[in-house]
Amino acid sequence: MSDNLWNGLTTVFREALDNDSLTLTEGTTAKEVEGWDSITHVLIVVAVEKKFRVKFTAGEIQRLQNVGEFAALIRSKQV
Amino acid sequence: MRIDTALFLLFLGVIAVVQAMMPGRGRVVALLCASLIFYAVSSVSYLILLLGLCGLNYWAALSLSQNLDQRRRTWVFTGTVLVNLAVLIFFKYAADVITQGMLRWNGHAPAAEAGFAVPLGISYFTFQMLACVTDAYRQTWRIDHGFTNFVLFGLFFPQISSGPIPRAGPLLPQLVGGDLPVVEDRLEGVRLIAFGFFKKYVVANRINEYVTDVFKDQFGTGTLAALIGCCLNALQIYADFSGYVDIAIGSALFFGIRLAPNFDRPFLSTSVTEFWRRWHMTLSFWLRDYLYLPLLIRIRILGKSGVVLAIIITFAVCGIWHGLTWTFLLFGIAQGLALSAEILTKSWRTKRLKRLPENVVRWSGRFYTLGFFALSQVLFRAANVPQALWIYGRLIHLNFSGGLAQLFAARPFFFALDCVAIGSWVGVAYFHRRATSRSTPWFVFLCGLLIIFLGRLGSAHFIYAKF
Repeated sequence: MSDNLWNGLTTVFREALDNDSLTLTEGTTAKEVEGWDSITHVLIVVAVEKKFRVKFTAGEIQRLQNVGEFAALIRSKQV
Repeated sequence: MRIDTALFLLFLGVIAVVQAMMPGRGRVVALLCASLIFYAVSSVSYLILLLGLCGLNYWAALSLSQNLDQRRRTWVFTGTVLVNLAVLIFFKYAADVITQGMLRWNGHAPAAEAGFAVPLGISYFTFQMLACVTDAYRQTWRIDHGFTNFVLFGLFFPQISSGPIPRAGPLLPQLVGGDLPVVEDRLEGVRLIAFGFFKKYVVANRINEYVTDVFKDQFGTGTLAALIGCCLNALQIYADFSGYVDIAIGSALFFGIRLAPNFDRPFLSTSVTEFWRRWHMTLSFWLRDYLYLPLLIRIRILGKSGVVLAIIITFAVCGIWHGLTWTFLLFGIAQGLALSAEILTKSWRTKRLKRLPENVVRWSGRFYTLGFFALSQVLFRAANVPQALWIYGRLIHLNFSGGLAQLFAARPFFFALDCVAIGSWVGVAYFHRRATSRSTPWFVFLCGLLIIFLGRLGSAHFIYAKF
């Protein structure tokens, strides 16, 4: 996983969740992070689409299980 | 067959005996036969309709689990969803539309016998089927069970009438397991059934008389009577609906099947958002997964405005689902507006409320949530908007002179009994939370005694039976 992608993803999550000390791992899920509800999830997706200039389908967004899968999806769109 | 009757308890007993005599697969067949008989008692022709819909949805879920090309998948999915929705909309709203149309056209409503009954549990059945087909389309679930098992899942008798709305993922494997339930599950089921009967007959049915009087202005309702009517109305709908759900979940558990919980002490919620995660949970989560989130994802570019729009549309649909009336629509929109306001002010509130003691924040949150729920339930209960406005008017224009004394004085002896009955709910709930397998006979005995001496038997059907 490239550092740029991981750093960018962490920045988006920290801004959306208003938590400057948030640390993400590939296995991080919404249940483990306070404030990461369905609404924040969609706002994170919008911010990621803008930051990385990618576009996700509805199915792709709803199938995401953890941060690792999210990062892999972004990378697949950037190729 | 109503599930709050002695006949239903007899039905459960007979199935349990038959099931115990069967080998593994035979137990599944026994449950399937019981479900078919349960539905056939309501209507054989609608049973055939639902079996047809089971066939369509099974075929669609199976097709979507295979490697079809995307275009064909979209056609299968869209077509199946449209058929399910068309059947639901036709049966749920056609009678209303025809009645309204005839009233406008010639001033007469059609005779009741000329209309048609709504198939038992059609809403919950449709939600169940739509979830299966959508999950198969999203490839988050695939069907690997036979058609008869799928029919049992669709028509499983404890939950077909009014939910809870099950998901195939957790329920189907339990249904086809064929194991006999362990004694602890059977006893937990019996306790839930007894508690459900108690809530319905002792609490909900008794409260109903007061609420009905207040809404009919039986005693020239004053402000205090209106206020008590609003609070009792909220309490009644909770006792009534959670009583039904306890009987449904308990009946399933009697056969070793764990249905999804539908209530999680909703009156302890500190916000309307939290309330909807604790109230009618299977409907809330269904709306979230199959309407709200897909809609929000499609309009995500609108940011927070999109969130508000998606919430209001979702709750408006939730309101209309209850019935094609202005009161239900306004009820839904009110919930949507409250949730939107809470979401938009969440970070602002969090920062400011940190300065206050935790207990003050928690209890004021509960007071606000309960107050909002009780007020919005007026729309849920009222026959029309003018009646709801009339109740709200009584609350706003203070008038302490009339109503309350007459309301209680009309039945002084029964008023005392009603207080005992409603108060006993706290004790029975406490006993239920702590009851074990050993204390089950005592718990059932207590519920039985209270039902016999304080129950209002033979009263109205469950409120949610009409949805």
